[in-house]
Amino acid sequence: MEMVVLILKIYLVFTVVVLVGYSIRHFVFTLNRLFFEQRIYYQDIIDSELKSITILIPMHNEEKVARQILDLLVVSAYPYENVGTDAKRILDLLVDADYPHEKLEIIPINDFSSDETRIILDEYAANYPFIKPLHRYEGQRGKPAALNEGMKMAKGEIIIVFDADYLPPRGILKDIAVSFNDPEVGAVMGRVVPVNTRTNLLTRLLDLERTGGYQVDQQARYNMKLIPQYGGTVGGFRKDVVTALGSFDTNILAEDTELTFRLLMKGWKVIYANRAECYEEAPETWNVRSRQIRRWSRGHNQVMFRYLWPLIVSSKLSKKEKFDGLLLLFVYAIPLVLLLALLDSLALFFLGEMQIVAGVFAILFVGAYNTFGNFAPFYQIGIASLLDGATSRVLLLPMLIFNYFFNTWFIAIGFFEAVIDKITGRSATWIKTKRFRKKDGNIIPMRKWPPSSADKKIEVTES
Amino acid sequence: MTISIVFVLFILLFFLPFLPGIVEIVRKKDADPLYIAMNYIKDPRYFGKSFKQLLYQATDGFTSSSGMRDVQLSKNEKLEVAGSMDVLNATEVHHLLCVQGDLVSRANAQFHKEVFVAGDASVGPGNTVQVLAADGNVTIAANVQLKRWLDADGDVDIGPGCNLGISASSGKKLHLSKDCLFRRLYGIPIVTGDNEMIALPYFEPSLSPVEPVSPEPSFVRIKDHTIPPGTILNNSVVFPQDVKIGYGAILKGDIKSYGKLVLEDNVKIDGNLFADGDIVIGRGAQISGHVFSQKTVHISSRTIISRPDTIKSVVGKKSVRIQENVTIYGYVSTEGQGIVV
Repeated sequence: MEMVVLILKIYLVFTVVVLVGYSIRHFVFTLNRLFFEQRIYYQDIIDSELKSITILIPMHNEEKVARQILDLLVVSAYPYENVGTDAKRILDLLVDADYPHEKLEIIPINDFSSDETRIILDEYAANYPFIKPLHRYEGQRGKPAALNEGMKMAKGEIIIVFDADYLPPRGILKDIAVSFNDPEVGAVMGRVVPVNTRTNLLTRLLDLERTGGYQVDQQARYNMKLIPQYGGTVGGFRKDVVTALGSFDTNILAEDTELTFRLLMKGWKVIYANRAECYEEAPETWNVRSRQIRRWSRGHNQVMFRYLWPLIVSSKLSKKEKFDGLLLLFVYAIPLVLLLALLDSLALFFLGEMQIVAGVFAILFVGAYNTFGNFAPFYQIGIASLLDGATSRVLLLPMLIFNYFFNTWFIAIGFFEAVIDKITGRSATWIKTKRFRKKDGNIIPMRKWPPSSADKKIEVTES
Repeated sequence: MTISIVFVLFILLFFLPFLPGIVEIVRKKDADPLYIAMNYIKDPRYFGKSFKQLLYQATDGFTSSSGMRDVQLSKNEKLEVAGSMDVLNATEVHHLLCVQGDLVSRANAQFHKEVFVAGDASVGPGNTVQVLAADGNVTIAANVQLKRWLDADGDVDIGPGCNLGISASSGKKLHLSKDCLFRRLYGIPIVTGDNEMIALPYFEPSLSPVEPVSPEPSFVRIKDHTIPPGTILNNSVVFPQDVKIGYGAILKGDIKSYGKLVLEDNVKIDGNLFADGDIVIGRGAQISGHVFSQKTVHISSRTIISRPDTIKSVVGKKSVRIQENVTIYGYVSTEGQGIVV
């Protein structure tokens, strides 16, 4: 029994050490964003010799959202309230689109859709020669497989990927493409901003998570020359490089994280473009969110198993990149560590063995233990909201405790699924995140675009 | 009773941290998505174009007859429409000006509001101008203070010691004299000093950029701190530290340094320059691509950046310092202070 208690105590101390490590990480990122020199991205570069790009949009039963993303990509100069209602004007305004048409190609990938997605895509292809839909009804289903087939068709040097529910602004293509003038850049990631924040508590909490994750976490990692992560959408990569690397692994659910580490192992860099902002639709029900976070966890942990050792021995990365890479790889394993630590602490409590450290260390121990998980990103999200100019939404911070317990549970399940994948070698099945938008509903004008003071704001962005 | 009080207190304290959040959920004071400017595109002449469009709408296509009138721009403004205009010494103008012909201002005039000139504009020495947009050519005398921006469709010639505010742009040539301060410049080309463009072309037909044909990066990493004079390299190169490219070296590919990047005189780069530290470009350099530094860019005389048929950018986060007799086809930007030295 004494041995069991000792093991339980050691595990608890180990957990606290790990959590303190992650807390310090979040704290350092936050301080970096607040007080340290910020690296600028390449958005100030104006270039008349842009690289050719292909936009890939994987779509599985996306009739609710397909028209909007295509309209926004095609008619980047078009006023939003009229999108999709005036074909002639659309064609006229194509002349003013913000990416040279001869260097732009859009491949929406109809991935085994059984709804009207196919019809919608064919309709757009008939109107716009640079939209070349790919209809897939054979082979493996899922985003990585769809992207692989799309890349075979693609003529662009650079691949830019959007999920179908995304709402790309007019200038984002240039903002992403221009970074590939840097010879080291293999992939670039933009910023994701939820558009349906007003829907319910969940969408508001997810908005906070995204804010902290991009405005502070990703930007700080870019500032500190660590490892910003390619997130699989609102981002781009060099087609030839990824093709030569064997394209996407269809058995990995987090094909974006996998690509990040594959590029790093070969000496390429992944960078973050805070300026390349794009709206997404966040999950609106806890059930959908649970499936999403479980898939992310499963995929990320698959990547962790694959790249843990190669990362440690890599000759292409600096020591600080390796350290950050390790912390990044373990991100979706930590909730399980915490879950077990909670059970551990309960066991020790009922065994009357919670006196692990004494004196002032006890206070530090409790403090450290309470700093874990949910609390660690508090300052990160708070500062991110501050940087974004948000006001009252920070009042929701304590409510992230619900997300924390929710995420912990489903991430832990995802971890176990990844372990089983690793042991049995089974292949994962891609499950698409459900969309909540009304069919062809235009959600952008939920407020006036631009808002009443927006003319001023646009000018500020310019300056 | 005591138990009940304790229980109620427990419940109250338990929910206390959530109370402000609950209020926010109910009131939805800050529930809108973060603002993204969906129409935003990077246009170096944005200010001039948008102002002219606003004014065009407010004046019925610049056809209004001469005289004063009220116009609604972002707020209600007084607008004077004139044919041509000669503004006398030390005159102060407190309203918008729309000059349908040419504008000439004498010394020390002050324009406190925006000025649009459909013809050519000649701004006298010591003037202060809020905003100047012109369809024709613009000549700016010495020591003029531009509070916000300047844009012209024609050539722009700026005298010594001017402060160009946030942006100075031209659809044609933008010439700056010594001691001009700026933040953003755009011109085809931007020329400093004696205003004589250097003969082009300066590269032989360039080799195609090296395309990655394998998963390995197409660039090479070189740990040396110096590339010897006269070296010819035909690849993109990344230097993990400070580096000095020797006199007369020719590099066909992009150059990136994680430290300071120094180009000695007469170096030719057929590619882009990126550095985390300062970029110092020696005299007579020829660079076909972008120059991008997270710190300061120093450009020495007789340097040419970009080509007549292309637009490239010089970006120095902290500062851009340009000597006289430099030619840049495209755009210059800094968050700090730019200066012609």
